[in-house]
Amino acid sequence: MSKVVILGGGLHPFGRYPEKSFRELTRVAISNCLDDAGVQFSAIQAAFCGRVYAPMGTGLEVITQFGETGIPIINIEQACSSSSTAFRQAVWAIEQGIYDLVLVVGFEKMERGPVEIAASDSYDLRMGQSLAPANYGLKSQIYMDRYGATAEQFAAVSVKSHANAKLNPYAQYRKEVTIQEVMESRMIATPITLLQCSPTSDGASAVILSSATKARQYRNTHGEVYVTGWACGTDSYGDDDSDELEPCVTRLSNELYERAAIGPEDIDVVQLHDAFAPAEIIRMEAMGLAPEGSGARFVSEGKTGIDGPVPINTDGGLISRGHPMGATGLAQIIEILRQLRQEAGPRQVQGAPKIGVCHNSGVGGINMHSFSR
Amino acid sequence: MSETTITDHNGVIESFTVVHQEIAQSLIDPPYVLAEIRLNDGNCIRCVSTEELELSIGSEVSLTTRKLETGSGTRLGLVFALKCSRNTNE
Repeated sequence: MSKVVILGGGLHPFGRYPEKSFRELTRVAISNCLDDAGVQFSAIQAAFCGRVYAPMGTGLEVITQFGETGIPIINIEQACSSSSTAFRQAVWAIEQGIYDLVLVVGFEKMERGPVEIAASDSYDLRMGQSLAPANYGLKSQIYMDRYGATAEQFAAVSVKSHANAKLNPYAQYRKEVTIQEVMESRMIATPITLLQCSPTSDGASAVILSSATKARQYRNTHGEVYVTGWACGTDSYGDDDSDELEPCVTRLSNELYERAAIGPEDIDVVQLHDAFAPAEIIRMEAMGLAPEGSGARFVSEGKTGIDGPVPINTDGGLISRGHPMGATGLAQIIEILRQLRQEAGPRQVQGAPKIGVCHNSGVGGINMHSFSR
Repeated sequence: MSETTITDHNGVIESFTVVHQEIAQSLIDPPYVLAEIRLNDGNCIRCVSTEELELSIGSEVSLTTRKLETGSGTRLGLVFALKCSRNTNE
């Protein structure tokens, strides 16, 4: 199988851009990506596009604004993990030798307000059981009951995320917040308050992947970053009866670590799907990044900060960088790319990080990837 | 696809959250309690209550059906109540 290299990445800043079209958002992200990779669009052999709310076939529109070169353009919808799914499909295509230079794009424009995860007129929707933060609220209560964690410790995730986002020019919320401000923001589903929720956002992200052989044709002043492993899946029978809060994340983490021949102790920087603050704590434990029951303490002691031993969501994560659903997965990967290249500026993890991992979760499934420099 | 038959409407709270966010098209007005309940027959079910309840993980509850106004008629929904509070009300 071919080794896969990330040649470059680019973003359109995340935020609210009601006046901008998908074409405008993606034009910026793809242009930045092509520049970063040193690749001409005409050389791209296939494009994979992740999005959720865009009309059918929008991938064709956003890709062909750079030229009608006749390449296959694949549209993928997988809720919050749409663009990491597009990324994985591209990785597989290169590994199998089908293509050796592929563009992956994620884009989104979202309405304000809570995201509906149940089908219209479904029982769950009618009975108030379909609110995403409530799902996390249920897990949070178990975590608090089991390990003695406090609501303030969950709030500390949001404080850390906002502090990191302040250092990220592409983030939606570049303003620090205090524990008190997080705790006093509007209650959504106990113990989760508004400032512990990822926002709805607009934005776009793009990455160019190549085979290691093809990568030699391009200038690479950044140092090569390889995709070293992947794992993907969904919940399975028995997960509901598990004592674990995130059994699927544990299962997929173990798959990823085995495939990449790494352990959690080898990971230098992490991007983790923090749609709601408690998720970061619960999932870091499921990934083996903190001992069971100690994740909340890890956060409140600063161990997950940029200068900590387990830096998580150095770009602000979903909560503060923003969460344009179709663009999020690639934005996570781009942050790992920047960190491994040591190009993250004021939010750079010190010590020349070599291994990074992404966890991206959606209603349609979980994708995890590992990377090395 | 498998079907599950509930044979016992009594159980204990495994987790709960108080939802304050309004949901479009929901028949349940916030605030309300959303709980995961382990029934005595082993089934696990998500269910809501609009009562003001002093809940904790492990609280004993029972399920009941309630008629909910949909705007175009009524619809039956499953709700839960604390076993002791229901007995008091009775």
